[in-house]
Amino acid sequence: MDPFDSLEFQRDVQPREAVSAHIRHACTKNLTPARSVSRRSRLLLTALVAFAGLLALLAAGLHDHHDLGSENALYGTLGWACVLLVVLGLGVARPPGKRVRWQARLLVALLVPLSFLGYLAFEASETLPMDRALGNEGTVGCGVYTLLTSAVVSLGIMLPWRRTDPVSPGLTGALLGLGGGLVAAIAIGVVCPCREGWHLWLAHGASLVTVVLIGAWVGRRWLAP
Amino acid sequence: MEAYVDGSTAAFDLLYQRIGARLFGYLIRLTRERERAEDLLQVTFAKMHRARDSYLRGSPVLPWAFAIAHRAFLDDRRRARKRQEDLSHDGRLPEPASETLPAELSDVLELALARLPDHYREAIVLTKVTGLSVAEAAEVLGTTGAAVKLRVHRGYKELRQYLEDYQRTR
Repeated sequence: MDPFDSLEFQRDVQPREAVSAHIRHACTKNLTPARSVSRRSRLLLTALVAFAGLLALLAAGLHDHHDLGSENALYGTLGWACVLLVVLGLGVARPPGKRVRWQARLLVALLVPLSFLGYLAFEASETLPMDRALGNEGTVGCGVYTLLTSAVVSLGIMLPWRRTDPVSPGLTGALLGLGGGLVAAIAIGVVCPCREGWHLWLAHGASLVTVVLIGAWVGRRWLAP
Repeated sequence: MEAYVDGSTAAFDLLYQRIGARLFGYLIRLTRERERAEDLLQVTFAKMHRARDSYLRGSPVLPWAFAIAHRAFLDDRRRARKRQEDLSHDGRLPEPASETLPAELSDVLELALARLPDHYREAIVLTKVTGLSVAEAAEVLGTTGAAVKLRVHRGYKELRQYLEDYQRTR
């Protein structure tokens, strides 16, 4: 027999009257109809922001460089665009509590940036000594630009999901940050003419890792109700 | 819940009547302090109120509300760990409450439950005390139904062990 079934233990406990009155007052004062947005609309908005971000960054980059990069880079871009869809799908496609196990999502949030760094190492045509790469103004400028655009796209992707995840907001934020970071890294990877190893790692790769961490931090504050 | 989202005060009253006590029961067993549970109940309803536009129409309210309460508890516990311990009037740390053996079986069970690791206690409280289904409890805890069943099973084993030890010491 279940020991919980026969015990007084199960009896409902009630909060004090004053507490209930306070809650009622706080929740019904100026109660107005709230505009509730469906999950489908939010998903659509997220996809639109990601796509618009990708197009805008590509257009801005092509305006400056007039070059689409090598064929390999384009195939890589297509591959990473597929990864981006998987990341966004794992992040928000299903409601909180019904998503893939958190361990699997954490693994994706860790492995995708690492794989991207590996891909960049594979993409590099040459690797200069680190001090020369760090001293290069182009690397610093490109890194700052990638980080800022990643952050803007990530925030745009997160915006439709404000206060929607009471279960694991930090992890969802990390995945949405990763999604925004991938959008920026993919677009800038196509248009950036530099294929030097340290440039790719520091300017393109490090911003992805950073935006995942920022996404986790922002997610805890923004995505939790 | 949908009527509450649409701005009905009567709907809020009905919602509070239906889930308020269950949420409070859950929180009081997580915190083991009545006042802290009351604070967290207020926080939970304030968060539900603020996030009512993100509630997905037609979906079950209980797992959503319990997930918010669970998150409120975790945030509060994290903040409490950062806070310094309160000192008593003479500047010393407060004495821990003396542990006397409880007389009633229900009290023994409460005490045993309080001693369980958090993840076992949460799974047992959600499924056995607040009456959520395994699937609903899994939604609240952000894990799978199989993991909830395993936690309940292991929690029960520890409870049984504690109750047997208690029987021997009486």
